[in-house]
Amino acid sequence: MAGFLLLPLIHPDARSSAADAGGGQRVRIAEVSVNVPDVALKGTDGRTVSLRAALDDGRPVMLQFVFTTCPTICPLLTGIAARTRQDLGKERERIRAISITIDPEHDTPSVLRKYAAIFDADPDWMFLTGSLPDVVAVQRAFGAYRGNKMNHAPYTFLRRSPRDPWVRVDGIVHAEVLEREVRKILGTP
Amino acid sequence: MYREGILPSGENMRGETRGRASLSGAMGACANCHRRSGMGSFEGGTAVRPVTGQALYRPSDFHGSAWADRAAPDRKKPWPAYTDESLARAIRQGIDPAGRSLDAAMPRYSLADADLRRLVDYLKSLSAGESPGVTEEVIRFATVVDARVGRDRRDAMLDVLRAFVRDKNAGTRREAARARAVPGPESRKNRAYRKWEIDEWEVTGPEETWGDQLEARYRRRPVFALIGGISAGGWGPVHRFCERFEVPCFFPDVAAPGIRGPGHYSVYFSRGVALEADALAWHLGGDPEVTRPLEVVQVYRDDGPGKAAAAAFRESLARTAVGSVLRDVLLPAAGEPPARFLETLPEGNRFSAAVLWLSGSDLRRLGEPAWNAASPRRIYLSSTLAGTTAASSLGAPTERVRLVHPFPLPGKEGPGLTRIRLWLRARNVPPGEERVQANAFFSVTIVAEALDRLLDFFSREYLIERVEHMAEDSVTPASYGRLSLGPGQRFASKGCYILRHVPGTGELIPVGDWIVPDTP
Ligand code: HEC
Repeated sequence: MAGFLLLPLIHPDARSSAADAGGGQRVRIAEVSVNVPDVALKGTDGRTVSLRAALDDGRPVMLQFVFTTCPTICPLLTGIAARTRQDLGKERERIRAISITIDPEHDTPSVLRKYAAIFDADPDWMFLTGSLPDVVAVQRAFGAYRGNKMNHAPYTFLRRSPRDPWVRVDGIVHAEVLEREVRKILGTP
Repeated sequence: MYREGILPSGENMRGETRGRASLSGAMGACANCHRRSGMGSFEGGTAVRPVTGQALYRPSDFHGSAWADRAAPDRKKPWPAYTDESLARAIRQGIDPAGRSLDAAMPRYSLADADLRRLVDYLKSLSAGESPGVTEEVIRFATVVDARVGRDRRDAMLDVLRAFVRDKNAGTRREAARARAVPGPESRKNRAYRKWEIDEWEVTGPEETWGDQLEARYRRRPVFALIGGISAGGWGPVHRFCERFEVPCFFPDVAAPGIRGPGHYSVYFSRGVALEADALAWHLGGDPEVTRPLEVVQVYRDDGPGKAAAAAFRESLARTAVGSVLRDVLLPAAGEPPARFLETLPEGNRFSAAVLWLSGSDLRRLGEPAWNAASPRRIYLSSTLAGTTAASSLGAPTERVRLVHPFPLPGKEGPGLTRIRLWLRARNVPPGEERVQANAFFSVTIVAEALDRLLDFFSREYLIERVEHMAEDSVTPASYGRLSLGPGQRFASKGCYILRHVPGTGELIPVGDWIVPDTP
């Protein structure tokens, strides 16, 4: 499969590679550097969560941006994350998953709670909302802000530890591909 | 199956993508991706193609929608028209008529033959009906006006709509001529032009009778959609009329939509006073200056907005568990409020807060009741009902008064209002009620912009979907701050400020952040 050029506008320092996700579908995988802003978000129980603390809880982390009324991409992204976590079995407890809504004024804690339930989210998978400016700042930090939420990009971000770079998986990937990347991070074959 | 993802047997329909994401029930419903119109969408780099019979049973170069030609990279070359057999193969195995795999986002569904046949029949019927209110030359809309609305507000809305239509029709005469002169697919955009007409539907008498009045008007001369609209009381009958006749209604200027949950056909600026009530209860829960237990008196009129606000507040306050409404004071829908009536309440000075869901003129007539005693420590007013200047006429010490304000901060309205003032002046529309003018301008502009995207494909469902998509990008001024919708979302503005007065000045500043109440 031919290599892929990443949009240099988004992350000039991104190192990229492409993988065949099967059926001719390409997945772009890149390392990106992210300076996570120090914002307080809210969990599905309405309690405040420091984003930095949630990301640095000692475990590897997997992060997605979604919104609950999103017609096509988010159900697939979330569905693949759910499938991956299911397939990981017990091991999923070793990796924290975080889904942050990009439509925070609609996706209040109680709306996110229902969404998480649709995907049978396990206890190590957090769904976060917050004020609009904070959520925009987080998306910008990850190079994932696209203005209108309908233009959002299908990214999944992975990181082994705060000392490691973020890995960005771009595309609606196969659960197997995501699982493979997650296992790389976890260091288990 | 298409809309809800439920099989005729009652079980959830289940699809699985090549990436092994499994989607069942509503998440796997075709309408989730292809939308109710069947026209698809374009989202974050994924083109969800149209699946109306019209689009599928023709070769793929049919420009069924703006993104029909933005297919997945390996499907750039056209493909032949679908047949019932190849369509079944697409749905079950994700293979197009040219034998290529569909994009990984399209799930595969293993459906029984009978279910599949029903689904295919449904696709053939999608957006295939005629479009009420649209003829070869004219596209007809209506706006609903409650006869009780005062002249100022009524004229403010109608002047804007009329000026917009005059402008629009002056600009489209040439396209209509060009469309007739140049046949063929290139003139599709030209052929889409219609002369606009907006009928003014005045409703009179008790609200219970509005439904019949609307129906009679509609039967006499159907319209494609309702634009704007204004009411002094409730809006429920209009909402129900729209659901029943599947007529979209875009952004009426109403303080209380008067409905429990969102419907499908009506799109509102906000939940109105019910949003204010929820935000206030939310705020009270976190305001340490309010004495506990919180004991509230709320005063409201026996009309649509009054009852909606009071009911929402009572419910919300109970949910936040910080206090209760100790007394409801219900004033008749019309007539003067009794003078100094607050003083006569048996609870006397026990209230920690008074919430007055009243208009500016009512507040002026209240006189100076118990305001000068120590209680209530807080008096809350609705900015929607009372405006921002009514506090001063209340006669209460302004440091006690708070305003629930679902609009941008005073002085921070942005360039929108200036723009609309210029637009109005250029069209000789006299300046009037600014919020009403701005809202009417927003409604009619976003409908016009969305309609442009439909080309000559006049589907109401598709129009709603375009508005959902575009609301967030709209730079047109409305009296609200940021407006945003999404698929299925029907209230575009979702929060409020609580404002207080800076002592000694007329200035209003926020207490805390923009509140988005979480109402389960
Ligand atoms: C998760 C999103 C999603 C759901 C749910 C979905 N589709 Fe699709 N569908 C797509 C996408 C994306 C494409 C475009 C594929 C491409 O262009 O390669 C597509 C393409 C199609 C096509 C081919 C159109 C063409 O022009 O070749 C048909 C037919 C179709 N879908 C029918 C259905 C039906 C019927 C359902 C429900 C049973 C359904 N889809 C549910 C996303 C979805």
